[in-house]
Amino acid sequence: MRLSWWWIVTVAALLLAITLVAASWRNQKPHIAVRFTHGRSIVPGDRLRHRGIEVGEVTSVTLADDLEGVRIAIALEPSAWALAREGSRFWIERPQVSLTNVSGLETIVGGQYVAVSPGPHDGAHQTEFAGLESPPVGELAEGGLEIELETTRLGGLRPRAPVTYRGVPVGRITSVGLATDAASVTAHAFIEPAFVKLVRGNTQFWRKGGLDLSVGLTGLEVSMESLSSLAIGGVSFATPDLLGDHAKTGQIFTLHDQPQEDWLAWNPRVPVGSELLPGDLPPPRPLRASLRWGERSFGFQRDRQRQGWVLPLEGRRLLGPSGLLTPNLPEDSQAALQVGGQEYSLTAESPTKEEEEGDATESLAVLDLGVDVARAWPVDRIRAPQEPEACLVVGATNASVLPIAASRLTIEEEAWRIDGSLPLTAADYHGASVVAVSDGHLIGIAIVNDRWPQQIAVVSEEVANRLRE
Amino acid sequence: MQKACHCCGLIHEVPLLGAHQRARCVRCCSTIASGGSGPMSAQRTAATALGAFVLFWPAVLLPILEIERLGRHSESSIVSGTFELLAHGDWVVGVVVLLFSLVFPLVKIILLLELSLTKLLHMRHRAITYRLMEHAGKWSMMDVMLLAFLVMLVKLGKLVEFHFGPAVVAFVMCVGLSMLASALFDPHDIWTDEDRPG
Repeated sequence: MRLSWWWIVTVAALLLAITLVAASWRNQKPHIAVRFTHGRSIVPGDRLRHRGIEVGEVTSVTLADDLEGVRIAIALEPSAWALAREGSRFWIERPQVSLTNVSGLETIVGGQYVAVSPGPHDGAHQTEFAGLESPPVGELAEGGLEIELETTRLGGLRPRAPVTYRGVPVGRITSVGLATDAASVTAHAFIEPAFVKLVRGNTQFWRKGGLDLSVGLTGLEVSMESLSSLAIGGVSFATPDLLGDHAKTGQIFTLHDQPQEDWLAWNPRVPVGSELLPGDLPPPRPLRASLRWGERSFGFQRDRQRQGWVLPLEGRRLLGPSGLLTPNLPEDSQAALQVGGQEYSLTAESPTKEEEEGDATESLAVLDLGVDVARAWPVDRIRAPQEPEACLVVGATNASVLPIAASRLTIEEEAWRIDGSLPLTAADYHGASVVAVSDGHLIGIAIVNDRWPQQIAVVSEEVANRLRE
Repeated sequence: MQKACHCCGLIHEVPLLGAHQRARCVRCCSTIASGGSGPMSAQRTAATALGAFVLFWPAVLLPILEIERLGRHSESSIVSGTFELLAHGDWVVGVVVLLFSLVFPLVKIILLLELSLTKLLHMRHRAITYRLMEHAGKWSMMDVMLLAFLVMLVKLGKLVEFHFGPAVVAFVMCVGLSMLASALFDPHDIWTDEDRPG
C-alpha cells in the first residue's frame, strides 16, 4: 500500500505535541515540603521569600501524617531551585514585637510569609525539611568575632542586646544562659567585622543599660546610652591606649557591672575603616570642601557652588578633583574654597593647572595652600598604580567605605572607569580617596558627577614624583 | 455503481473513475465522487484524524490560560477548569463545557479514526459508526471555545494580566485538523469496497 503524503501531517502533529509537553515540563516548578509544629495561619497562596523577593509559593497546608505537625508544600520558582539543599532553614516570618526585638513588621500589612536561609553551597539537594519554630537570631556576618562574657547575674541581658563602643553599636549579644556548671551567667557576643580590631586582650567590658541616675549637688543627672539599651540593657567596652593582642574567637571576658573611671578616659587610635586594609594601617580621612564663586550672566550675579571631598597631604597641599581645586574660572572672578572649617580664596591666576580642553573629564589636582591643614596624609603612602587593582573608596565615616574589585574597573584614557552597577552617589563620593587594598597606599580619587560616568582619577607617575619633592 | 448526489439527491450511475477524474451531478454540479481515491482518501482522513487525536491531549491537559492578578499567578487547563466549574457547583456550565468541548470532539475524532483506519469491519458497523460520528460532529464545538477565549482576552486584558498557555497552540491545531479530517472523509468509501469485486 502506497503511503500518502498526508502522514506528514500526523508526524508534525506528534512532534508539536511532544514539544509542547517537553516545554511545559521544563517550566514545572520544583516542589518541596517543610514541616512545622505550628502552622501560624499560613494558607496556600502565601509566598516564600528570600532576600526580600518572592522565590516560591505555598501550594498546600495539611496536617502531618502523625497529626503532630503541619506539612507545608511549597512550589519554588525555577530560578530558586538551588535554595532547596541540605542545611537550608525555613521559618515563618511574622510580626514580633517585644522589648528585645521588633522585627517582621512588614508582615502586618503584607501578610505572613515563609522565609528561607539557604544552607552551605555544597549541600545536597533535598526536598523534605523540618522548619524552625521561630526566626533565627540573625545571620552572623563573615569575618566577625565571637567572644564570651562572664558575669554573676543576668540582669537585663537578652539576645540581640547591643554591644557598643563609645555609644556606637558595634555588635550584639547572640545568646545568654547559665554557664554549664551554673556558677555564673555566660553571654555570647558577636562583634561586626569592621570593628573586630577594637577588641583586644586587655579590653574591659561592662554592663550598660537602663538609666544612669546620679543625684548630686548640681541636681539630678540622667544619662542613657540608647533607647534599645534602655529597655534591654546592653554591653559597652573600652580598650586601653596601650593596645594588647587582638582578641581571638571564644575569648572569655569578665562583664563588670560598672566601668571604672579610667576606662572611660581611654582613647586609643584604632583604624576601623575596613577590615580589608592590611594590619593597622589607618584609612585616609578626607575633608569636606566646597567651592563658591559668583557668575555674571545677563547682568545678574549668580552664586554657584561645587562640593566634594579633598584629602589634605603632607606639605600643605590638598588633593582633590580638579573641578574643586583648580577650576576653570572666568576672568576677573573670585572663588572661595572652604575646607575643614577654613576659607581660602582662589583667583583666576592662582590655579596651578593648564587650561582644560573643552569638555574633558575632571581629573586629580593638587593645590598648594601654603598653610597646614589637619589630618594630613603622608606622601610616602601615595603611589601611581600600574593597572586596576582592588581598592576601597573612603568617604565620610567607616560606614561609607566602598570596596571595589579589580574586575569592576576598566582603563579609559587616563582614568579607571567604574562599573555602572556600583552605588556611588555624587554627594557621598565625589572626590573620595581611593586606597589600594594590598598595601593601603593612596592611588587616586573618585570622580562622581552627572556629567561623566563614574571613574577613578588615578595618581600618575609625574604627580607622584612631584609630590615627593 | 449508483450514487445519490448529497446536495440535491439526484441518483446517478457512476462508472469507475481514473486517477484525476471527477463525477459531477448533472443537476446541481456538485462533485459526487472523485477517482483514484480509495485507500488514499482513507489515508488522508486517517492521517489528519490521528494528528487531531495526538494534539487533543496536550490541548486539554496543558495550561491554556495564565492569569496574573494582584501578584497571584494562576493557570488552568481546560480539564482542570471544567472540574473546577463542577466542583464550584456550576453544574450547567460545567456539564456544557464537559460535553461540548471535551466529550463530543473526542468522540468525533476517535470515530473518524476508526472509520478511516479499519476498513475491515462489517459494513453495517461502519454505517452506525458513521452516523454516530455525524451526530457527534454536529455538537463538537471546540471552535466556539476559541471564540470565547478571544472575547476574554479583549475584555479582561485591561483588568488582569492574561497569557495564553502552551495548550492554545495544540488546541487551535486540533480544531483545525479535526475539521480538515471531516472535510476529507468521503462516506461513500464505506460502501465502495463492498461493491468492488475481489
